[in-house]
Amino acid sequence: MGQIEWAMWANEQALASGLILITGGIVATAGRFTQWYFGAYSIVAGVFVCLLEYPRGKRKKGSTMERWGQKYMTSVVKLFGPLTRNYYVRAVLHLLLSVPAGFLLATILGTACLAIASGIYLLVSVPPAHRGKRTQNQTQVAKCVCGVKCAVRSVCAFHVCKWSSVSRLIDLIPSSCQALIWAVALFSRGHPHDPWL
Amino acid sequence: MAVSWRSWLANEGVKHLCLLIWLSMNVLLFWKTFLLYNQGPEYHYLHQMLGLGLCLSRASASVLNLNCSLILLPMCRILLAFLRGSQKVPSRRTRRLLDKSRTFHITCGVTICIFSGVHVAAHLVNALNFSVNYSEDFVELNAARYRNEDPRKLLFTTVPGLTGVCMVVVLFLMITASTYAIRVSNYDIFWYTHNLFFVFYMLLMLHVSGGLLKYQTNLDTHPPGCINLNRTSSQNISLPEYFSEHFHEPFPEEFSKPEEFTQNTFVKICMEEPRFQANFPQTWLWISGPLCLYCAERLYRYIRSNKPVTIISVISHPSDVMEIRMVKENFKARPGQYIILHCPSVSALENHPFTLTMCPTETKATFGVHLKIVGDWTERFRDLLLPPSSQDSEILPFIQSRNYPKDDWKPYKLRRLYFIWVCRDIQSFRWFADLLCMLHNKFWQENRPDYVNIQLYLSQTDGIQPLDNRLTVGAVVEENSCRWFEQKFPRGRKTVGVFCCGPNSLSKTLHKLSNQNNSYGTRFEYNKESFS
Repeated sequence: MGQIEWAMWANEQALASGLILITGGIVATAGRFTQWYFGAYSIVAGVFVCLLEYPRGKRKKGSTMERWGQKYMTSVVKLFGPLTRNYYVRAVLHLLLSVPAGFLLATILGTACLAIASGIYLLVSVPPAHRGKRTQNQTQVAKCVCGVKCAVRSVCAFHVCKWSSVSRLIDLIPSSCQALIWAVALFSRGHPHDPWL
Repeated sequence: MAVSWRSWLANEGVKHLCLLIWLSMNVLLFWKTFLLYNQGPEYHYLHQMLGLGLCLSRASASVLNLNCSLILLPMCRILLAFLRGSQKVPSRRTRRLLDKSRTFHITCGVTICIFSGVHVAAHLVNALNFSVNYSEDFVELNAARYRNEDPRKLLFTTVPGLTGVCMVVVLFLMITASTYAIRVSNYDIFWYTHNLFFVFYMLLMLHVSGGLLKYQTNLDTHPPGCINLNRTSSQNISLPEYFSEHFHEPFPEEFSKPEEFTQNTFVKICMEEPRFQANFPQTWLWISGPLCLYCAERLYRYIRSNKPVTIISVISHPSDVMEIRMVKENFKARPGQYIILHCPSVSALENHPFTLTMCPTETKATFGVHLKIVGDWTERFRDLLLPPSSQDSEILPFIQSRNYPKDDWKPYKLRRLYFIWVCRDIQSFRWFADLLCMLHNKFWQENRPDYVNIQLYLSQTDGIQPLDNRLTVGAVVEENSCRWFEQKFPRGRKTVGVFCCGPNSLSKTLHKLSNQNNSYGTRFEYNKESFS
């Protein structure tokens, strides 16, 4: 169980989220509804995330299945050194990229998916020795409106026997979700009769 | 080389036929539902409000109903094993079709992904249209509470909306963990997230109970588009000629002359206000049967697996291979089947499949498996049973053996067995050498020396000189397989079963070769073993 490489799953999730963002962005931009520029942003963010996540990282143990043609993107991604190598930076980057797409109905699911990927990267970026310590320092568990927490809890429930740091994940993900929802609520107040996408 | 139609039909024909039937069912369902919502009079007003989004969402939902019910059936492995081994399925072709169950499961899964995408996109457009096209005339048809209500509120504050979002998240977790790369490298992630299917199905049951989409029940007293004399807004003011001609006329069999505005094509008088009722959740009918069947199967597996197994002996072989011999009450198995081992002392949650290398017989209840020590579970299992070893792990050998009953000979239809084994180095043959020698001696004693023909291939040479023509060094398997296929089988139309257990590249080559033409008209039936 301790040998599971979660980063590989986070990579697949981020790539899928990028595609979802692109699709939602196309729908929003093509329809030219109010605040369609969020849709345009979503396309750009989606393309960036896809390019960043396309090269599959080398596994710690065993052979790595490379994606077709990934060597071209690998050389570009490696240029940025620790900015792209570090999972904590990726986690924060994905979280920040996902926030603006949450304002549009068409791209809101892309936000949720990218936030989940960000959460898993955050989990991977913390060394195992420090996981228990962080649990004690968390103040309170924030409630999460969307189903992300339920899904993550379901996944984590299978690990509860073997993994002592599960409560840290439960603490962090809802906090991110809550921050996200608050940000969306704060900036989405407008005229009640404006048509939203 | 040209394809042999006999072999192609044997290998691919039934599979493609089933695929065609499944595809036709999907297309039929999609088209029928699309037309119902596009043209059906009971959905006339709803269609006016929502447009194409309604038709696409409902049509994709019906395809999802079918696939969500079918996807569970290939996973009822005990039922499939029972059908495969019983006399009720005499045809080898049907039995081989049952081997394709995992492929069918994946096909249904991919279809669910695609049509979920269509369904979600269409419903997001519906949410917008519910908000923008809020109807003051038919208030009960609305999902929004007022015109231009924020569609995101519809998404997160209604039962179908919220369960839909949760289902998308669960599906996202399941799909991203089901890719080939993840299954091969981190099977645990795939297995645990895939068990979220139960959450998905529970959410699905709730999702369809929302009743947001309604149909009109009183079509006879209120034909869609009829003129309401009491209402002045959003209706055509009828011309006096039409008014006098069609007053109290019963429902016409043919369409009347269309009006200028396309909203109303009928010029009939409404007897009463339209009444709407929510659709019955058909999904419950689709998925309850397969879900109950699958749950019953999981329950049966759990009950059966609670009976303990006694380990009789543990034998350590070279090249990090361990053989375990066990007995279990009332355990029956046939050559070619596999068992799943679960050892709570090693891991409370992990199960691992291993092909049986020794089956229980009528006289002896012992059965056995050979394990290659690669990975943390097998290492811990070995440390539990044997003293710790300091040997390095290697990659799994290419082949798993089938051990026919040693002391209970049944007349199988098999006439000759060619056993081809490819390994990287000669050390890897050592762990199986005893078993091969025993088998060879047994057939010599029973005066069947040519029953088993053993061919060993080494992919790395390292200066080895073979003394026996059964060992080929530095072989290129594909090239040799082709020549070997052509040489080995005499004239006359025979059927040869090819059973492959190995990496994908080898499997694909052999599959292609099995479908190709050969001079003798021999038909090669290709079978593959895979656990991931």
